[in-house]
Amino acid sequence: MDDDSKWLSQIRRGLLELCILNLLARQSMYGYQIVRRLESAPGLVITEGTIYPLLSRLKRQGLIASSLVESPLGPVRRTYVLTPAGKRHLRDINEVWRDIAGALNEFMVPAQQERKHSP
Amino acid sequence: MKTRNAEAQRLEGQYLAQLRVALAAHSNSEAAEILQGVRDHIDEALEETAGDEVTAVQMGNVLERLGPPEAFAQEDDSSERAGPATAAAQTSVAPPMVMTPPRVSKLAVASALSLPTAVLLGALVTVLGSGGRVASDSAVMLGMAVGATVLFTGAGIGVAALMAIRKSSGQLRGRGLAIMGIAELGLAVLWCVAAFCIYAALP
Repeated sequence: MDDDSKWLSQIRRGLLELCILNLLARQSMYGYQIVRRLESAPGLVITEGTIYPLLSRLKRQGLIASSLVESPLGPVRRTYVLTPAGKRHLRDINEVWRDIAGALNEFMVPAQQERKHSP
Repeated sequence: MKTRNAEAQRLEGQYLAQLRVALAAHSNSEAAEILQGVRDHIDEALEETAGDEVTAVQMGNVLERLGPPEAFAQEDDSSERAGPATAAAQTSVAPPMVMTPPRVSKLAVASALSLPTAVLLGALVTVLGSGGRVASDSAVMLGMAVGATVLFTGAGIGVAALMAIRKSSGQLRGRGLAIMGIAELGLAVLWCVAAFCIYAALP
């Protein structure tokens, strides 16, 4: 794995956790639903299966909980919800992310300028 | 659940068997939950495919989107585990990005506590200075001076806390507490002015 791929992999892993917790803060969701929702953000999910170990880890850390929910229209689904500890953690990391995003926007070269300087 | 043709069944079984091996470093319950999640995912994805019976091509597409089974072990937070599969994963994958939650600035907390500290210290000095008798003017003045010193110090600490929070790039929080510490000085000054006016107006 080259340096660019490692960097992207680390960024994606951190952002996926952030996105999943934010999605679950709005509503409870099942695995496939989370994958489909995350796919709407380009570049975030490369392989769909990697969501499941991440969900398992978040559950082990007590940030999310799961339960089997029956539906009259579909199969029984394992649904994930944010725990109180997960809500506190999300509030903290969202605050960090807002600061980082604000700082990054100050440092980023505008795309137009980047194209002008590229060979 | 849609029925699979023989080749689709073989592909699915092979994939799940490889995944079980890749999840060897996980506890049995975690591995079972991940496997169940993937099985459910496959079922849901196949429901969206055309036809009554799932073909090998359709199954192959779903499994390809899921990614290779080895990727499951790599994507988990391997730093929390010990085991052969984890060690293998750690050789090829960089450690995950960890987002440390910000902590509350101790200076901000100290600043916010300046008003109750000033009141307590001021009262204590007044009582001790009076020697157990009715508070004398000099003891009251001494108590107020101590209280005022604590409040000015608290406001100074509040300003220092605000500067530290600003420089911390998000690692410190407690801006509200620091502002509260500074505002407490203003409130105390207003209270003193009001008290002096009432005292002066008394016959």
